[in-house]
Amino acid sequence: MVKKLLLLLWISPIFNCAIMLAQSSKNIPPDTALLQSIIQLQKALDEWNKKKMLQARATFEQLLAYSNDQWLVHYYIALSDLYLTQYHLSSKEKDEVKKYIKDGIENLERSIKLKENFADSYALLANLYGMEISLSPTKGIILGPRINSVLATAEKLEPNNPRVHLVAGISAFHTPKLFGGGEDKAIQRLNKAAELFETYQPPSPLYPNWGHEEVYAWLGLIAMKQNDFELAEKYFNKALKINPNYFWVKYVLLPQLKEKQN
Amino acid sequence: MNCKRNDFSIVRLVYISFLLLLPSLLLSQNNGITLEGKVTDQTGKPIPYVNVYLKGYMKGSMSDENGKFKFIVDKHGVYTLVASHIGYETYEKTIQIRTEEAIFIEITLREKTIEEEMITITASVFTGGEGKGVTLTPLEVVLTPGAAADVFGAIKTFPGIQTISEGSGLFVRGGDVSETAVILDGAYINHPYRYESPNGGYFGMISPFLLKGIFFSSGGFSVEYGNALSGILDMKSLDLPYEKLINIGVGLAALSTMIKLPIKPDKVGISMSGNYSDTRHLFKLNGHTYRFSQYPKAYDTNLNLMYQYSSKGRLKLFLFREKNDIGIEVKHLSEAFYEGDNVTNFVNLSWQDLIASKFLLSGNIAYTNFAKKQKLDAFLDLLTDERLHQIRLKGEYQISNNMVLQSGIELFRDDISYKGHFQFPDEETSGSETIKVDANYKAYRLAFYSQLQVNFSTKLSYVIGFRCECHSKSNQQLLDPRSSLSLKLKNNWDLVFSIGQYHQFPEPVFFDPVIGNPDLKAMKSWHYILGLVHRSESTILRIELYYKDYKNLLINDQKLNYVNQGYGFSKGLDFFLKRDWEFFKVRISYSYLEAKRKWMNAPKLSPTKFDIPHNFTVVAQLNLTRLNIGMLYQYAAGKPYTSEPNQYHDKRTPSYQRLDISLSYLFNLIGNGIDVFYLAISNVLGRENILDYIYSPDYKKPVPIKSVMLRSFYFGISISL
Repeated sequence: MVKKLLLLLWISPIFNCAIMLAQSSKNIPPDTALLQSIIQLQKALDEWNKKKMLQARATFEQLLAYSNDQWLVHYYIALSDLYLTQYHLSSKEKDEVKKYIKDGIENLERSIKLKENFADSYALLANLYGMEISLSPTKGIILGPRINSVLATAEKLEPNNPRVHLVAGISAFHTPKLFGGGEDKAIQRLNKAAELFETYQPPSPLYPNWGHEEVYAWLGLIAMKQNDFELAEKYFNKALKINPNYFWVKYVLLPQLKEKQN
Repeated sequence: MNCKRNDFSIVRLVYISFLLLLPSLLLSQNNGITLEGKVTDQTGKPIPYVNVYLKGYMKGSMSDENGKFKFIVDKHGVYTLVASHIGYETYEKTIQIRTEEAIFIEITLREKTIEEEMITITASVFTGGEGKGVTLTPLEVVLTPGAAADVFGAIKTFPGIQTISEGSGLFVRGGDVSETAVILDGAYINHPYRYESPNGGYFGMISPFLLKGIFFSSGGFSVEYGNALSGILDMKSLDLPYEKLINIGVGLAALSTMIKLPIKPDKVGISMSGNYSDTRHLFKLNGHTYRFSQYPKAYDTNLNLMYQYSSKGRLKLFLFREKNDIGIEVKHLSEAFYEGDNVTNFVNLSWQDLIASKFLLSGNIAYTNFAKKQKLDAFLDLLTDERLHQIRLKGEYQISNNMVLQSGIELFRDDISYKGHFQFPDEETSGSETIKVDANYKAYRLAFYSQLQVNFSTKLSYVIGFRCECHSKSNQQLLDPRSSLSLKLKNNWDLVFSIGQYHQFPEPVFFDPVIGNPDLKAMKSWHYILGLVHRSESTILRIELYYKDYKNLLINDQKLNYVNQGYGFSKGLDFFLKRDWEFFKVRISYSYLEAKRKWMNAPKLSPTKFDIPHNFTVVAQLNLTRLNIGMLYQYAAGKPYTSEPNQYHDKRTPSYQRLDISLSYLFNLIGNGIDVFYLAISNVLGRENILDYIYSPDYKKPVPIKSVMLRSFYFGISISL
């Protein structure tokens, strides 16, 4: 009984120090806050939870006046906008989609203005333009060449950035062969992305490191389209191996595959 | 014994722990100040997921489904509270936390007015290019059947434009072709047509491939535009090229090439184009109802240099040279051929920048030299040489989120020389009288305008402005007030209303003391326009009613040659419907018009030559990825003409009807670009349209003026590398 009391008394101060630290959260170093938000965003994506995506985005917004790397925070706001765009596209809310695409592009433009040589900003910009085309296909004529130009800039800056090749592959998949796209080109780019992901090391944990599982999701989707169900399953399982919580593969693509196999 | 020592240790431990606990106990007495509240929009509806936080601190919370938020602040102080949410203006407020009391704040967020909607939906406006409400892009111009890839040809398929002839002249809502101003990158182009004729000309001089956007207004246009009574065609040339492009086109009557080169991506770029057209083979293949002494032939070349020196600042130098030749028989003067030879040299330096994040400034300085040689046997041999200088500065200042002030100043110097001779039949000697011409006219025009745009809410927007103008020949200082209003109704309907005064000065030659009248004043018009517009994702519907009152028009006078006693009116209704499906697009335009004037040589108030009561066009396009099929059907009621000596515009020609079909096929031959093969068939039904009747001087013999070609084919190919 005494021993328990002793233990309690010794632990309490430590406990209280922790409470003190938690209460004065404004003393969290900006980098830690940013890292926390990045993890928060990934979690929101895995759970495909709109509220959590918005919360992560809100935290990034607060970080703008708090962090020293504003260019990186703008990037992550745009990344949150990308996920929110995908979310609203799947629930067919066109007006929301437009707003998030526009906001994402604005944030990336600011990021690029602050740091011109960050290839990921360009890759994400191309990704958002692609979203705009899926919303209004007639914009393809204007935005198609723009996507190519932005990706070219990204590739010039960081030829070994896997996300640049990932976005190039997604774009090629959605572009008719006539205009320089097509499934073969997409597979070529996605394979290159997969290869680069094996060895890619982000300069710091704060730098974007997403997309590895997405490469295999797209490869699987293309295989499924070409009726190679075995290959598709192989790719989907590879994606889940990298991220067992991957919402898109787990709850959308795999069930689609099962349906086709039957 | 043991117990005693243990007891003492425990007390010590308790005491020390209490000491360690003390600070945290004291701190936790101050649990922080609660900051809570509710976020609603302007109608009082709660907004969920609003990010409410203290700027510069990682402190905040998101509002819930009821718009309620709550978080704890540690210390007293002065903070900036921010509330942000996509689609709303960000809210910021300074708050002071001095006591322990909880603070309750009610936050109202204002809906963000989307920029494109803020650029007023003025009456009678059709814009092309990137942006909301697009109705015509340069690519659409090229794909519009029957337009022959001509900007003017494509604009003619919109309501408010009457089909007077088969040329390119824009006769807008009962206004003459000379009453519509054509502008490129801010520079007025006085002679925008090739093969100029009294009805305008054939083909616009500027190819749609050089353009990024086309803004056309059939009335009620803003104070930014002047010296035009009826309409405005405002074109913007291309921006910095994104990537290298080489395009070569070969057609039955034309050869064209365009090169776009980004020299330094997003900084410096250049685009060049060259076009050569010779219609000899076109007419030989399709036959022609007129004889030619010179088949229409033209060439043009353009150089466009762009320098984006900062994120918002850019300079553009546009150089253009064009030459066209034609020799065509004049039906009512047997054996007479009209020969025309025009050369245009145009240079425009334009600039745009955003100063101090609030002032959007733009300006341009342009020089145009237009030389026209006209010969009609012995009757006419005239050389016109026009030099136009213009300079312009325009500024836009965002006073607040809902108010924009726009102002501008422009100066024109027009210098026109005429040299040559006219021959008239002399009634007295029954021979002919030759009049020699060697004259030069200079006119200066200075204009200043200012307008204020106010968005009262997301539903109501209002523009009011004025334009001052003075002219060196006519001793007047003019003030034109113009205003427009746009009101958002339910279900994507907008109501637009426009009212304004417009002026246009007569050409400098009319002020000549011998053949004109040096005391002439400007012609004037009042526009009243009321319209309803409905926009949805795939449909645009527009109905407009207008009344235009014309005063001080030029009218022939025995003694003074011309006086400003002419007047007239035009009124009508324009209907426009555009609907896009996935593979199919259709555009229907209908105009009803009544245009009467007592001007020029009209003896009394009578229908003008552009009084076409009913004008109807349908454009339909089928898009099957690689294959595009388009159709244009036009119907225009007959045009007035004079059939007897003592009459004026007493009869009407039969109606004008034409069906055109075009086909284009996309493929990929070399490189990464898109290649196009196109085939156009004009007047598929082979209808012999009569455009006008011209009478011999004794009115005994009417000469019907028909189209130059009946059914005709045109084909070509365009390769992009």
